Amino acid sequence: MNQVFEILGFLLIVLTLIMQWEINVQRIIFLFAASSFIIALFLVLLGLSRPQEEYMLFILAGLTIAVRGITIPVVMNKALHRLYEKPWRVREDKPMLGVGGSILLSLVLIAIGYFIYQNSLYSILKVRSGSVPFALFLQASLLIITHKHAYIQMIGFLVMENAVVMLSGWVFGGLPFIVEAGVILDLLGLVVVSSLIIRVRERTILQEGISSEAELRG
Amino acid sequence: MVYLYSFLEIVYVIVAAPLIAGIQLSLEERIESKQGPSIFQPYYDLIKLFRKESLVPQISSPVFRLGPYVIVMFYAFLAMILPIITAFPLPFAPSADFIGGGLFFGAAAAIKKFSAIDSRSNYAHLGTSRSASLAVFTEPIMVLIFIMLGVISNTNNPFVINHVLRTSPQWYYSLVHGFVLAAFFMILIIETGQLPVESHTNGELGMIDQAMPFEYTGMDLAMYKLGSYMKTFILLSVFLNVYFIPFGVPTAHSGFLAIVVYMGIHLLKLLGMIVVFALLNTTVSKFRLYKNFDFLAVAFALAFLASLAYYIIK
Repeated sequence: MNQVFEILGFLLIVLTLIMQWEINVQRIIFLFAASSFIIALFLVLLGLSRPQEEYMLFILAGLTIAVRGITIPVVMNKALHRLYEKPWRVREDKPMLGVGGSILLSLVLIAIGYFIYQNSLYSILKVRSGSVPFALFLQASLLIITHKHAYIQMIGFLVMENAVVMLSGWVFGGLPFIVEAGVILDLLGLVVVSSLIIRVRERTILQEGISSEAELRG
Repeated sequence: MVYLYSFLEIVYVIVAAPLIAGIQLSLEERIESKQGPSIFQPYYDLIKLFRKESLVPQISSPVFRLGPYVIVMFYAFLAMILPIITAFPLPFAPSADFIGGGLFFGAAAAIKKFSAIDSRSNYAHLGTSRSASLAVFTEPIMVLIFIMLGVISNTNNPFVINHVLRTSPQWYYSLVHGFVLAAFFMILIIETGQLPVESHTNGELGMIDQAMPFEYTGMDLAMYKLGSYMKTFILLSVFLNVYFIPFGVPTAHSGFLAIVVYMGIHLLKLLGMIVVFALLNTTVSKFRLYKNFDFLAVAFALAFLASLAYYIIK
């Protein structure tokens, strides 16, 4: 079972690398939905391997699919449709770092995540692939830092959250169901509020032609 | 008998390599609802070119003339030392391991570049420059891939790697192997000039491999083309026989008949790869030249993840 978890963890890392490669916002949202489905599969498998928490984890997997896999991507897509005439053409125009550079930096962060985990938490937790969620967390931070588009930054935050879910399920386990479910539902509210704020902000910029420098000056 | 196998292997590669290229060309046209050329078209082209007179630029040196012949010789040597129709080493196999084989591939590519530069054609120079820019990144990735397989099998011998992957499901189905396979497939796309990193286009903005032999004609061009066909054939064979489908390759106890039968099976394996390439070439659009480096970055990322997965899993 451990090997299956490792495969799923690395699959999430690869998906996040592809997010770094991709510039089309809609495709990044789709990639996030795919990564959420992987998290749900991870929770189902975790449930199968821990019979005492089986039902709780299955419900969490269902909630993950409903909220992260379907509702959040749909909400974000609708927000894109309301804001832009051609939402399928919305892309990150000016990333802070070129694609090649950000992928290489992402690899460095994965290695750093591995070394930090190996030299700190591993001796306590004894889970050999616990560095995968750490790597995912750092990669998501990079996604936020290197992109200027608000939607991609939000996706970065959600990927970070996916990493935390993975870490809590894989390494710690046994967290109260109400906490896990609360976090998942909390995200929905966060995405709706963020989408509204982004919409208002983008519309103001589009309509009044405020440049990013002017916006920073206040 | 083993010398006969070596001879058979070389003849098989030289004879079948143009056929695979022909099938791919024909298949791509069929997918696009066109009639397409015969699958034997590369043979017709080669025969035509072999009969034609070779023209040589006045200012070129002997390197220009000798280049294609040396390249074909190198690939013929590689055909003898790599596991193409047998899973056991033939007489010449001990002369080079995987790194040595990689060096021969690199040497053939370098000679190709030298002879292209020697033609003094602007187009050949342009193609050489682009090819070198890509190769400087693909070679280290290739080396990283070979190192990872060396780590799995504790050797650099392709025959041992084939044996380890064939007999150890825990390695064959491992993440390390999966990542190495994906990275090698991406490198294969670049090395064989398939889309999205197509290099055989005639368009000046993106052409690489098409530009390098710009001044070649007649028999020299025929040898150059034969070398390209052989390179694609050998690389695909290594990918399939050693990494992807290491099963069924005849062992030392299999006998002559099994090797002949396997040649047919091997062609079917190659056909499968050709179908994948044809689908890619007809459905995926070409990257702009400078975007090729992003593709390379992803290939490197996969090879790097293979090494990380090894440390995590071990």
